[in-house]
Amino acid sequence: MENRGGFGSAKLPSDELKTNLEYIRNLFTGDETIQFRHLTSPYQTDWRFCLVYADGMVNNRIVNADVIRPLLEYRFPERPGDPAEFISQHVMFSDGSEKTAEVEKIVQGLVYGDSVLLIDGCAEALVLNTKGWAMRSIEEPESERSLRGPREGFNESILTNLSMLRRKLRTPDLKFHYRTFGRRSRTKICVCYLDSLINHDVLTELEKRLDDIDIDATLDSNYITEIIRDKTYSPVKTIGSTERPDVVASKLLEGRIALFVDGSPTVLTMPHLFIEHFQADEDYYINYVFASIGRMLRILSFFVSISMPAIYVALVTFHQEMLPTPSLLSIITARQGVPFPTALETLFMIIVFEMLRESGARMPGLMGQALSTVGALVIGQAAVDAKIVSAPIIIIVAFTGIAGLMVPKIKGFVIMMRFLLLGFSCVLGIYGYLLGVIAMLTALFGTSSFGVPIMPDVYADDAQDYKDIYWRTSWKKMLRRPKLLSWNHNRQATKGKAK
Amino acid sequence: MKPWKKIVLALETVLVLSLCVGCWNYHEVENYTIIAGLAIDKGTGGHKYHLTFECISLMGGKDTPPQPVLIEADGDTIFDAVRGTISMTDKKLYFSDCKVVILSKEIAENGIKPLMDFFIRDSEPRLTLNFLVSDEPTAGEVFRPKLASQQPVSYQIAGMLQSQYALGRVLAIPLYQMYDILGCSETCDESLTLPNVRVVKTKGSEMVQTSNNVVFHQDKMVGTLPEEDGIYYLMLRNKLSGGLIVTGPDGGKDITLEILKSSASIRPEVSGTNATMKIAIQVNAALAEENTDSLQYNLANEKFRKVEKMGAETIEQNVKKLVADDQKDYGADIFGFGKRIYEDNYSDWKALSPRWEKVFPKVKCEVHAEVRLKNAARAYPKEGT
Repeated sequence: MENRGGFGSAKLPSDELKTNLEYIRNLFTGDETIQFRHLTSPYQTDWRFCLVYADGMVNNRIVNADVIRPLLEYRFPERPGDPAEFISQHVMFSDGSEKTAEVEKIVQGLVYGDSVLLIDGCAEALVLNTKGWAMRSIEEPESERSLRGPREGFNESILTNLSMLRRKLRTPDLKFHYRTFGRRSRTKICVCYLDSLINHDVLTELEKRLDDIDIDATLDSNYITEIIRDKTYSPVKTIGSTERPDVVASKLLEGRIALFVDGSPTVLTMPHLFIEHFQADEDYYINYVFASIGRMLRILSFFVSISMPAIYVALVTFHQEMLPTPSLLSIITARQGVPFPTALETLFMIIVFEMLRESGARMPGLMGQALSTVGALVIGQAAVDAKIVSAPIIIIVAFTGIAGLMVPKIKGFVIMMRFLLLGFSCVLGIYGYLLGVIAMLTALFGTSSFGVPIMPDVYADDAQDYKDIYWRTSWKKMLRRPKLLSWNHNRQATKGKAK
Repeated sequence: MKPWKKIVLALETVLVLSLCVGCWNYHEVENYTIIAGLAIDKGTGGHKYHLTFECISLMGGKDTPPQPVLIEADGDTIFDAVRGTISMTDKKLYFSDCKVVILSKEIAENGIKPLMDFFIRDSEPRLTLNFLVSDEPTAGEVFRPKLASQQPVSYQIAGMLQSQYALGRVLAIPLYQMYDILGCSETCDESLTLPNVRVVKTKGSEMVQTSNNVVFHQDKMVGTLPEEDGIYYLMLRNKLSGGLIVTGPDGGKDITLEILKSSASIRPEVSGTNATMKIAIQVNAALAEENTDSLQYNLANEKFRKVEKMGAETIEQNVKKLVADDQKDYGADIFGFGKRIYEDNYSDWKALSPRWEKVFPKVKCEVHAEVRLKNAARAYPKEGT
């Protein structure tokens, strides 16, 4: 039977236990993890049941103590009119118990860790909450460490994740809406927002885009990101992602919307402004002066990282007169005997660096040491000594790489721009570089995320709008929420003036 | 428009653009010979110019400093000679790091305007180039000495010119200012000076030295100012930011004043064909040395004021002498008096300018100098304690 993930309104075929069992068995032919446990009440033998559950998805303790035990110990009376209702109300200890005859609900419950209790002589079944599978514990996310601030991070369970958020924002204003995606994966997602703060246009737009999704499976939140993003081919991120509950909470408080996807520890937030690449959660937990310095350094290193190789090539091959004489002399000395043109040499070394980085990223720990030795020794020392590349290139690439590591959230965009600008400046010198930068800025200023321009400078018109952009102002002075993100601008109600 | 079509269009645009702009300009640095300095002599074998290039050889490797190498070529124009070098070296000469141009006396006496054109017109040489006049028989000889620092001679000369602020002896006029002075000489008849350069031989080693200002009448060299007048010349031109004045009671020379700041203002007064220049010089200085048996001057001391007076007198005398000598010997308006009249009162200048050549030697000069001593670099006990 081709099951494309829908039973429509199909119902259990009969009130006979045997027929219903046979029906379910047929649905799960070839799935040996589905367990059938036959039970008969010792006191009233005409009370016969069958408990169906998926092995590994249920918590056996709950099944034993809260489902099987009461069934066997309860002194059943004569059969009442609605046995399923009677058992649900009087016998079961389980917290969730839903009476249904719909095959769809029964199957979804089964594959999601619920137990299904079939009762002889009843056309309805009870779907009991017995979920309990092994789960990663709550840890600090590897990719978003911070020295100060909460250490917890999301895990793969949507319920745990939602509870972590709920604990941070204890208000009924916090709304959760479930949806299910994936014809085969049936993944649960949850749209989450603070009702009084959000820009409802963004919510409407998000819901419209979510409605259009028709996909086989969503194994990670990125599946959703790529489908609902504003421009399919743009390299700029317009949907944020984080593994930290505190970050999600703070984004919700600025009027953003969060999207939790079951099975993924990465939560999506939208709209996503470009500056968010440079905002770290720690910025808000340490002194704002140091936080601002750190943020400006990050912005600077973004520019350094995309520009350094391009500017080097432009200076050395087009505009030598811009180099001070001593550095020109030392570059010439270093270039003596190097067989390749500067442009090719730079391109080659950047690719080598990206290879080293990429191999390091997914390298098992033990091999990492060998990698860094090879990287440092072979590339750094030997290549220069063997006159394959010149020494300044190594410095440029190292600088570029370090600067790039300072802004990990925008890694992909940085790498792309680096190659693009390098290409431009190889052909047109500093004019090409500037052309590339102009093109980049034009594209960035023209991009919006769910209708909100990602560059805040587009609509910022007074100092309040800049209080959390290039620098972070003291919390005392952050009176308003970012414009356009929220329809409720007063962050500090007693002080801020709405605008 | 389909996305792939957009990409193809963008690629085409870049391709076309790259053919239009700058692409030809891609060149690797190691394919150039860097010129540190250039000497211009009269040509041999019927050519107008003989050029000596001081180039930097970078084949020595990492640990040896760049070695200067000399390349010589003849040509009828400067550029002709520059291109002529390609028959001797495989690399093109690169001018952007050229710091100095040395002219032989003969070239300087024949007028330097024609040879400045190449350096201004061509895109590579910088407008901050410094021109100097060689004291040696030829200009090329200046590059011959092997310096102890193993540095190219040109860079040493450029460094010396830059350090003039502490000495205040020669006035380095970069190319763009030379162009201004010579370019407007029809209107204000200003004359140019350039520093000189000579090779000094001491025991076992050779050095180069720049110490005098060479005077041009318009663009032709006419003579040299004495070495000791250099500082007063700079003072008059308002280009002095350091240097020493040696003075003393009764024309003696045992007190040294270090100049901290100097400013001069020239106020022209014209009556008919006579012009008087009222020159006011104000110098802030420090008492730097008392080369005497007994220390007698200090800030609390009234004699201290005497030192100020002595200094002012020395300055007044020397400035007067400098102007008078120049008027007598060369008649070249190197102080920009004409320009001052031109700036101050254009109608006066219009009346004077046709005869400025004759008027300038007769211009009267009133000099008033004021020296203010700011410190004595010593703490003295109060008078009488």
